[in-house]
Amino acid sequence: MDLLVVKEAMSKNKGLDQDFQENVLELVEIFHKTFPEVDLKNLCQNLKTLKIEKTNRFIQRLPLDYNAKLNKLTINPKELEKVKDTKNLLMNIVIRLIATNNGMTGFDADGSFLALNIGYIAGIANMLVGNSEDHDYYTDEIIAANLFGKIVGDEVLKEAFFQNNPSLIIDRVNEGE
Amino acid sequence: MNRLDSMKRVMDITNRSYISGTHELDDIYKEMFAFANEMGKVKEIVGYFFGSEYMKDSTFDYPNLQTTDYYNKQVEEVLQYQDTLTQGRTI
Repeated sequence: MDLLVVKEAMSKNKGLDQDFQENVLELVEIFHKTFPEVDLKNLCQNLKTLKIEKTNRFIQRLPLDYNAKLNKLTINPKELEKVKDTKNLLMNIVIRLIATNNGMTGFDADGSFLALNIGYIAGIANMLVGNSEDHDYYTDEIIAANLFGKIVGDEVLKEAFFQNNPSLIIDRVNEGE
Repeated sequence: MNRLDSMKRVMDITNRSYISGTHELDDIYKEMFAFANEMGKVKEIVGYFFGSEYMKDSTFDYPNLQTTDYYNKQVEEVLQYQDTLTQGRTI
């Protein structure tokens, strides 16, 4: 899928300003170079209707968060000011937008893979754009996701994540049982 | 315990650690070792520990260290460590 299609999808959403669109497109290009096989149709669909809302630390402790069920990005401006590496943070969101289909992100179907999903996303973001933060929000989850990847296989995790299919992981675990 | 039970324990503890922010990494390691045992993948986990500085920043870059003597020594040491971790546990 051409990146122009992504650009066109964003242009249909009046809630996304020019800066946001340009930043997202730059990150999608980076992602697409490493994962050309990953379909961007979920991303386009999500970008067309993405809502952006500001919040505060009483509601949300994280600087940026994406609610897949509501397709809503919430920004905590005060926390965001403290972030050194906003590129890494936004890449986390872009990966979620790519891997969210009908309110389900990656392989987290019912919350049972919640932490591993978070770790997997953060690991990919670090791999794609690096991370210059002193403190990584999700270090433990990244370590756990990598350990898990060593057990069931990185390719299995990748396929399960981008196809929103946690049963691939379960099937792998069941093999040879 | 079977593979799925073992995986469920990993998931439960990882989720609890994430949601509560209590950073229960030692406990996650223990369950991961038990799970790796079930899957017959202990060497991969040892490889992870050996190359963890690489792995932390990358899900896919994995150093090919399996052939080095140093790696074999690490395997031996971590397997001993694993014995102490799983002592008293029913696997």
